[in-house]
Amino acid sequence: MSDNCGNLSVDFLAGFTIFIIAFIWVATMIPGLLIGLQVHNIDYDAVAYRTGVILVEDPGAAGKVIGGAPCYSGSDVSTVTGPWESQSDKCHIARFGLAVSKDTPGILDENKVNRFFCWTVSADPNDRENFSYPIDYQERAIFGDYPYRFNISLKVVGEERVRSIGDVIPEGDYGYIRRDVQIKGSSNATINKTIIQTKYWSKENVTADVFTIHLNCTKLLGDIRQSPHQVDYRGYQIDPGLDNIIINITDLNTLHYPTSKTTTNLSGITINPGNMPLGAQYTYIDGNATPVGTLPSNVMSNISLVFPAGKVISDSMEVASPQLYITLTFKNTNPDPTINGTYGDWFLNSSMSGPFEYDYNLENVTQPQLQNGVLEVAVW
Amino acid sequence: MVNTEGQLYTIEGFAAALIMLMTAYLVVNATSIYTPGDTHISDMQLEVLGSDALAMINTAPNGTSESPLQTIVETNDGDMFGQIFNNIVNNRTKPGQDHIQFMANVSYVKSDNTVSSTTLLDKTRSLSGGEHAVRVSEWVIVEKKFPDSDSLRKRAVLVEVLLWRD
Amino acid sequence: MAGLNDDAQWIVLMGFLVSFSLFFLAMVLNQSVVVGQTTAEAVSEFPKDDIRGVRGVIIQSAYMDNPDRTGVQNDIRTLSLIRQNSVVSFSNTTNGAYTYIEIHYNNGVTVYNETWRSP
Repeated sequence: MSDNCGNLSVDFLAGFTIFIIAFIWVATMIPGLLIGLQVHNIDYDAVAYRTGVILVEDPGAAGKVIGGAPCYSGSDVSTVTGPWESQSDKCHIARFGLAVSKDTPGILDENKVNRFFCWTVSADPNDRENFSYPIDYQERAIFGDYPYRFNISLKVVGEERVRSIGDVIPEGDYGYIRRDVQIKGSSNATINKTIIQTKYWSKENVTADVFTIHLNCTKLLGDIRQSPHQVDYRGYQIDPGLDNIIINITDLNTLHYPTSKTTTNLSGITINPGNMPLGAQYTYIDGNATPVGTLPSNVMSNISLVFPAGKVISDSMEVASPQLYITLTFKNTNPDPTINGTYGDWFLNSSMSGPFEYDYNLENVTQPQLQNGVLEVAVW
Repeated sequence: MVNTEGQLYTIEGFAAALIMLMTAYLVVNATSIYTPGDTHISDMQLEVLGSDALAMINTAPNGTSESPLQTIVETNDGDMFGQIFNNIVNNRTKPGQDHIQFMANVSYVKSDNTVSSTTLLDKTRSLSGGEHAVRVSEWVIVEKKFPDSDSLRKRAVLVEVLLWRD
Repeated sequence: MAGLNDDAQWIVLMGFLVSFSLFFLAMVLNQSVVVGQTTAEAVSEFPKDDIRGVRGVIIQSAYMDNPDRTGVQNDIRTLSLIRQNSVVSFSNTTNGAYTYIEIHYNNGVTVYNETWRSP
């Protein structure tokens, strides 16, 4: 006699089936809830704010990028010195930051701004200097595991151009922050006829007229740290080790007296201490766009010495010293027959009056200007 | 032949399925995903902007002169403040200005050690209800005599600006 | 009640289990949405600009001469307390070429202490 009693009753099967079908249906529906919750969406404004703070309030750091790819062989990260904007190898830059110092948030350094905005799209592994979008910026300013795309734009008030890095801002959802900043420019000294004739114009019977410019680094670094700028002095300071130093000497063709000469022979420029001859790579004559090749050279009316960030100290001297003297030597080529055949005519000469002081005196030196600007960061 | 004995499991299974479906329905209806653009984020952006602008006005143009904000508070020049602040805070990298309205006052300490405020700049537009306004402040040291304070002396004051977006 | 067959209770219990876990999931989702908002709240709540501003005027006041100095320092304490809801206390000492200023700031949520040395 066959027994058609099974272990499981039909009743059980029916009930269990209904339960399982309902369970499967609910289980497949619930993950649909999670689709609307994209983690990165919520983060955009926070990442944009953080990037804004890093760029505007932090001076940046040189060194190895934390967690980045190893530097190519031959590049020694452990001996990196100097600020990040002067590193020629981008592997030696750990973090971007445009502020002049950590005590001057909101005041940006123009050298840092110029370096930051040098970017390309292609990631050429042989290009160690230009930054490539987006990877170099993600590692040094945006941070985070997710590869955010971004656009960073800077506009200086009064200028038409907008410098920007990155993609065009999309129509949809993106995180955004806007910061108002000031950009610190460089100081410069324009030594024109008025200044020269007041103090540095003399009639010496010499074969060569000598004009010296004195940078008293101790005074330059120390004088500005007085009340009320003990904290934010770096926004007003002339630091020969970090800032651009520009010296313009003009109106040279009007200075010869009694006989006027159209050209003068600039025979050499040296930097003391060390008596190093200054390479002609920083000397621009008569408004030429390229530096003069070699000295001696003939000058008609202007000489410009343009030392980019810190080069007046780093490139030009064997021995670092708190006192710098830049000496220009003008050779008197022909004796002047009208003055008894001697060399004695009036010209630019600082031997009697003392060197020209490059300091915080507003009459001599144009102080670093602060220009207003707007920085916008968009992240998506 | 047919009786009601086998309905036990079926009924229980049915009940369980019903419970799960009701819960799922409730859950799906209840959770709503907020868009990130909620008030806290826009308040933060406005506050950062206002702080930056005030800090810029309080920065001296060179190492020897005083900051524009000091001069403005000492001469109570509200219009100048309005002009400068408006230019800074509504500036954008794209062409065209933003629309941020503001009002400003100066808080100082009276001779009886209580705090009082004077208006530096009246509102640029009426503040209607429902608009989120943020307040930013900046410390300035000025030499000034306020109406109900003792004398002309150097004092620390707080310039407070209320900002809102149009 | 002895006759009730409760063999199938486990099916209903499984059903309940699933529904409770659904509720839990819904609560987790609800809380996670406020992540973005909370970050912005935290930014607004941290008194970065207040601290920077107070620190700047405290350091300036330490270099003032005496009739002005007490007035300004009193102003700083009073205004900080009344307008910014924070307690500041500070003192300075001079040791050789350097001036040291000790600054304490507390607004109930954030505490900031610093010993500043002149450059």
